[in-house]
Amino acid sequence: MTDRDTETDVHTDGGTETGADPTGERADASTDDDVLVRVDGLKKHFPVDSGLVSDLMNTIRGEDSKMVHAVDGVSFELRAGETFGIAGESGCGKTTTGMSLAKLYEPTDGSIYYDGDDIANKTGKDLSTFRQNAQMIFQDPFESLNPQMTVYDTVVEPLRIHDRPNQRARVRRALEFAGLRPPDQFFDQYPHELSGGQRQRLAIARALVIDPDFIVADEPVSMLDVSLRAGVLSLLERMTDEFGLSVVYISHDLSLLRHMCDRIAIMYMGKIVEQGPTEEIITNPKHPYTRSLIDAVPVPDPHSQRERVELEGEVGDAINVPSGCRFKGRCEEHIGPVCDQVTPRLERKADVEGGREVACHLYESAEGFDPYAEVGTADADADSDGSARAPGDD
Amino acid sequence: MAMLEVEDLKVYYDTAEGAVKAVDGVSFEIEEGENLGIVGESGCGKSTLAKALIGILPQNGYIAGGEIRFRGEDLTEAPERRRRELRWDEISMIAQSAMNALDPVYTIRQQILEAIEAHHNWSRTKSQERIDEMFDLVGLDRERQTDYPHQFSGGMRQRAMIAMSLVLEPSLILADEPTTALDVIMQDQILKRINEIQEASSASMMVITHDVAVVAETCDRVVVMYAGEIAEEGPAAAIFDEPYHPYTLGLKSAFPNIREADQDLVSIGGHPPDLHDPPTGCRFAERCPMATEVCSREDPPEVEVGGLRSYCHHVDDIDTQLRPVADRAETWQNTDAADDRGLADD
Repeated sequence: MTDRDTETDVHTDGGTETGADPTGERADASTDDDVLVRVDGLKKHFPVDSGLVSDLMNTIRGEDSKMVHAVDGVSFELRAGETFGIAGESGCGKTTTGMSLAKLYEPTDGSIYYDGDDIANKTGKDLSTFRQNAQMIFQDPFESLNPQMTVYDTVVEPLRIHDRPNQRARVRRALEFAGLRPPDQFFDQYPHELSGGQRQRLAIARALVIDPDFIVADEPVSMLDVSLRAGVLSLLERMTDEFGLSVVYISHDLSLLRHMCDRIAIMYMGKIVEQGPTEEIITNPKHPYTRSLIDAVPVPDPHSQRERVELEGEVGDAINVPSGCRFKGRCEEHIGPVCDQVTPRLERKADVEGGREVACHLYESAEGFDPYAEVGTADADADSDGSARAPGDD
Repeated sequence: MAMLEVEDLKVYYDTAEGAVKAVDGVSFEIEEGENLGIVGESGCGKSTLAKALIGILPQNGYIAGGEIRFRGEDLTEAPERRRRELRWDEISMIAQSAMNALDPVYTIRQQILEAIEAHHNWSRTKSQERIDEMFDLVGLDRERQTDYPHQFSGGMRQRAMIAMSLVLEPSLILADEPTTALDVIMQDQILKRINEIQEASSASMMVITHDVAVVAETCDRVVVMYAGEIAEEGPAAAIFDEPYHPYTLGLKSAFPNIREADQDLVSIGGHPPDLHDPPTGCRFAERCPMATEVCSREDPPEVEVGGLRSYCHHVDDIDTQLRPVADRAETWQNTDAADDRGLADD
C-alpha cells in the first residue's frame, strides 16, 4: 500500500465533519511531488467500421480498418488542488481525454500515471482504490442519473460498492455540501422530482461522497440556466478550496474556463495546441487556433466591437489525419511547407514568455527542435506522429 | 403601426394539476426591420411566446387572453387556414434543435421544396434558383442539397434551418435559441450569418435566448422575461449599460464575460415560482435582494426610466442600493445560496 492510500484513509475518516480541512495533511504529502495525474502521449483511436461484414471485407481486401483519431498524443499534468481546463470545439477529443483519465476508456497508446503508477496496470485492490479516487461529473444530469433510483440510493451506491462504513452520515454530509438541504428531505425523492440545478448538485454529491482525489467535470453547467450556473460552479470551486480536490474541467466555453481554471489546455483534432496558465492564454493567445477560439466568444456588451477572425469551415477529417499541422487548412498564418509537412511539437518557445507551451511553427523552439530540418522528409514525420501505426498494435 | 403588436398576451397549458400560466400578460411591439431579443431562463415563457406567435402550440396549450396583431390583423382570432397561410410565408422560425426540426427521411432539398410548394406555384427552376441562393447565403455547399440531415454536422443543420426559414422571404423570423446547441466557433459563424441576413433583408427578427451575449451582438431592443411576465424592456444599449430591474442586473452579473478577469459570478438564489399558482405581487420578489413587504403584496408598476420600461417597485432605490453591489456574489445569496456560505463557515 502506498503512502497516498494511507493518507486517503486518514482523510476519509477525518473528513466526516463538513469543513474539516484535510488540505494541511495533503500539502505535507504533496510537497515533494505535487503532480497527481500525469498524462503521457495519450492516444485513443476508435475503429469506424468494426462490424462483422466490414471486418471480413477488410480481411479480404487486406486493409486495416479505419480509425478515428479522437485523441492523438496528449500530454499534461494535473497538480494536486488545481483546476485544469480542457477547451476546444466539438470533436476535438476533450471528452475522450476526460473519460480516459477516469479509466472509462483504455488508451490505444500512451500512459496515464496516477500517483506514480500507470493506471492501465492497476488491478484488484489498486484498481478499486483508483476508482474511488477518480470521479466524473457528466454534462447532462437528466441522463447521467438513474431515474429509478432515489437520491439516497444514488449517493450511497459508491459507498456500498466500496464497502465504506457510516453510509447514512456520509450521504447526508455530501448532500449538504452540494446544497441539497435539508438532506433527509431529499432522501426519498427521484431525479424527476428535482430541478436541473438540483440534479447536477446530486451528481456532484455522488462524486464527492467517496472522497475522491480528483474529479473530471465534463461541461457540468452547460445544461443549466445562467442564474443557477454560478451556484454549481462555486460548489466546484469549494471542492478544490476545502478538500484539496483536483478538477479537470472540460468545456468549450472559454469565459467559464477563464473564471474557473488555474491552467488550461486548448485542444484541436486530438492534440493540445497550447497549454499554460489561464490568464496568459486568454489575454495573450499565441497559437492561431487559440486566438480564433477566443475571438469567437460573444461578449455581453452591445458596444464592444468584437474583432472577428474568420475561422470558416469545420474541424478536419479525424480518420485520414492530415500531415503536418492539423490546423493548417483553417490557419490564417500558414507559413509554407513546414506547416504542411512537419507536425509541430507542444513545447516551450524561445519567443513566448511565461509558463506556457505552444505547438506552432510561428515561434522558435526553446528546446532546440528545428522543424525546418524535417521539411521534405515527410516519412520521418509520419513515424514520429505515430499515425502510421497499425491499429492492431494495442 | 408596428409590424407585430402583442398586447396582454396570455398563453396557458392545461395539465392534470391545473393551468400553467406560461405567458401571463405580455405586451410588446416589433417594428419593421427591427431585431428584438427575448431573454430569460428556462420556464420563463420565452419559447411558449414564440410558439404562440407562429401558431404551433402543443395540444394542451391555448391562448387564454390578449391579442397578437400582425400588420393589424389579430392572429388569435384567425382560423387555422389563415394561420397556415402566414406560417413560413410571413412568419418563419429557426428552431433550437435542428436535428429534431428536420425530417430524417427526406433530403434537405426536398424539405425546403415542400415548404415552397405549400405556399407558391413556383416553377421547379425558380424554386431551385431560390434554394441555391439560400444555400449560398448561409454558406452551405450547393452540392449538399441532396444530403439527408444526418449527413450534416450540427452547424450545417442549423444553417440549413436558417436557409429554410428564409426561403419564402418572411417578414418576421423567430429564432429560438439558434446557437445554443453549437460550440463557440459554429455559434460565431451562425451569428455572423444572422447579422449579415439582418443587414441584407428588411425582415424583422425575434431572437429568443438565455445567452445575453448573443442578444448583445444581434439585437436592437431587448425584452427580459421572468416567470411568464416582462421584467424590463428597452434598447439593448440601455439594458446592458444601466438596467433598472434587479433581475436584469442579476442575469447580467451571472453571465461570464471573457473580457473580464477575476469576475465574481453571481448565482441568483432560489427558483422561479410555480406557474400553476404564481405568487401575488412581483414574481421575482422571493429571489430579489431589494424586495420589501410591498413587493409580495402589490403588482409592480410600469415605470419609464432611463429609456426603459421596467416593472419594479424600487426603481428609485436601485442606484443607491443594488447597482453598486450587483456584481458581488454575496448580494444574491439571500436564499439557499446563503445557506451554502453558512455551512462553509462552520
